[in-house]
Amino acid sequence: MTPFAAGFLGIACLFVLLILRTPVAFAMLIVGFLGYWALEGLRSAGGVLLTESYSAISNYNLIVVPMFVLLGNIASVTGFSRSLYDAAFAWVGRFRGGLASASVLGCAVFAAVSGSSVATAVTLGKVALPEMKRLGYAPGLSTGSIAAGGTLGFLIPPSTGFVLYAILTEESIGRLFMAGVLPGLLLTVLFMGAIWMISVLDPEAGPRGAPVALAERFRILGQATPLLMVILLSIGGIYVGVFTPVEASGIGAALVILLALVRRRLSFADFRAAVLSTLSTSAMLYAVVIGANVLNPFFAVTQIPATLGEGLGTLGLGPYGTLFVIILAYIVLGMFMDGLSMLVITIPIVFPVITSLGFDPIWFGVVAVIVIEMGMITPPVGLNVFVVRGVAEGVPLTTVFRGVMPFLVAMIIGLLLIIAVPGIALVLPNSMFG
Amino acid sequence: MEAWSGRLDRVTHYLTVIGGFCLLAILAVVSLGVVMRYAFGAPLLGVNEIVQLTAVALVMSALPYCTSREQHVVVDVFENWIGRWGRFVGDILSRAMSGFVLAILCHRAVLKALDALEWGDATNMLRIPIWPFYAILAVGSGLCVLVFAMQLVLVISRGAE
Repeated sequence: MTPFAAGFLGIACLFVLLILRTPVAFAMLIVGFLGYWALEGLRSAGGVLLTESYSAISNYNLIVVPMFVLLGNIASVTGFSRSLYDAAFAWVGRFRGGLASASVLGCAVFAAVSGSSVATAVTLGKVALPEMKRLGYAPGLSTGSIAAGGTLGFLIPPSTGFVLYAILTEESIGRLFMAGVLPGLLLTVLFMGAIWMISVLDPEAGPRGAPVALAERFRILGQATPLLMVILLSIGGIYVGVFTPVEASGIGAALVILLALVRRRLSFADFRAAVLSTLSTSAMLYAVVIGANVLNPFFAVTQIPATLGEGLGTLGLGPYGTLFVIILAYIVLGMFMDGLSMLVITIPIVFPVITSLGFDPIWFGVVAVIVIEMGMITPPVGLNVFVVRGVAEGVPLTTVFRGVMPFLVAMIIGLLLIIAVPGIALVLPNSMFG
Repeated sequence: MEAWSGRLDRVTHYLTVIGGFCLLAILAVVSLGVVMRYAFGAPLLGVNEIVQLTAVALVMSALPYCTSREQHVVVDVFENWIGRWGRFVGDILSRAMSGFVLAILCHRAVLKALDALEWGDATNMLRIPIWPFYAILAVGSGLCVLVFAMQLVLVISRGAE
């Protein structure tokens, strides 16, 4: 069997294992190890298994994952995330669909302390959905805005998607974090625009909230200020070069814990729960990275990425035609696969193709993350939709899926803008790093 | 068998205490490094090495816990499509194969730890011996093998559900 045929057999086995519910991390580990064994012998395969596993778990840059996960978990258990939502509502709640817009805004800000879209959707969903139900919001709009807003957690730094992309492609985490800021804000504005349009077309869907006096608005904003300062310090610190991403994550988490202790909001039980949850999430993510690290050498030996790149080149589609095909493949895969799994399985194959076409690897990281975000809210497997459905009791799944459709359109518009104007993603990292 | 499974779950849970301390240690070292650099103009040397090695302990003490609670990412969209026999075969196959690969990882990590101990391998800057961290990798992956073996026995004893 040629290495190339072995590679395709490996991909087929990978999908069979995934269909049979093998954890993604272990499916990659199994295929990577056994494939390498078949091609290079047991001794080499054992060496790759140990070296790649150790290098994955001792990767200095990857430590941002547990640090930022801890930050998000502490902010969640202490109720700091609630203050973000309250502040957003005080300022935009009086507009049409204001509560839904406040939810999206709250998601965007919470995304700056959490790298996970699920955590963002759950945290804000628990706070905002009962409020929207109380004010008579259409269930589709309320659940759709939270499900879509939650996806911002995967794009706005610190994003686990960017960390994994950086580890897999050896790109700079700092650059990718900065590249995600403006597209994240762009999507936030587009989501709020979608909410405004829905509310204009159907005023019953998103009624205005009660206006809040200016002094009261500033008072509520003041309550959210400490967490906003932590976000500003950690993300701003990366931008101005004061901190590396790892330092920013450590300082951010330390400050939130300190803040919670000073304000006496952190009980030992809550702290223990936050740490345990952080450990579990981190182990899950590290396992995925270990699996991807072991799978990559196998793919490299089979030369699948290079051959695929040549094959796509011979189709004569040109760079943007090829990009379109790749995005389409991502959207289809995103309908069935979890975003994280999709990222780690596809990037080793797609990345060499993209760079050989002359696209900027940082820019493509943003594009890939947005397409994966779309997969989080598209049927039949929209992870965020299921999560929000779990929080919003009594709302049918079809209502949530219908509710996210306007936001999906907003995401497509955002994606097209970023493809047409790469500067939206690249201006911040380029101004920072040159 | 359920009792043994419960005991193993407790062991993996206790192990997370070590993971928790590692997490907080990394947090403290990284923060201290920044404070020392900016407040006292005296950067801590070897923060990278401390973080990298502690991360090994953190991950390998949390991985058995995550595995025993089945919290790994799974694509479960085809769950109904493959039917109860498909699920049964899949559960057996995934645990057996995952356990097998992790057993090899454990074996290789033991050999590497012994090798590093014999040759006195250490980190570049702080000269921290690296064999204990390969030993931790071996213990963590070994515990995961036990967890998978226990899950395999339970899956087989329960039959197709």
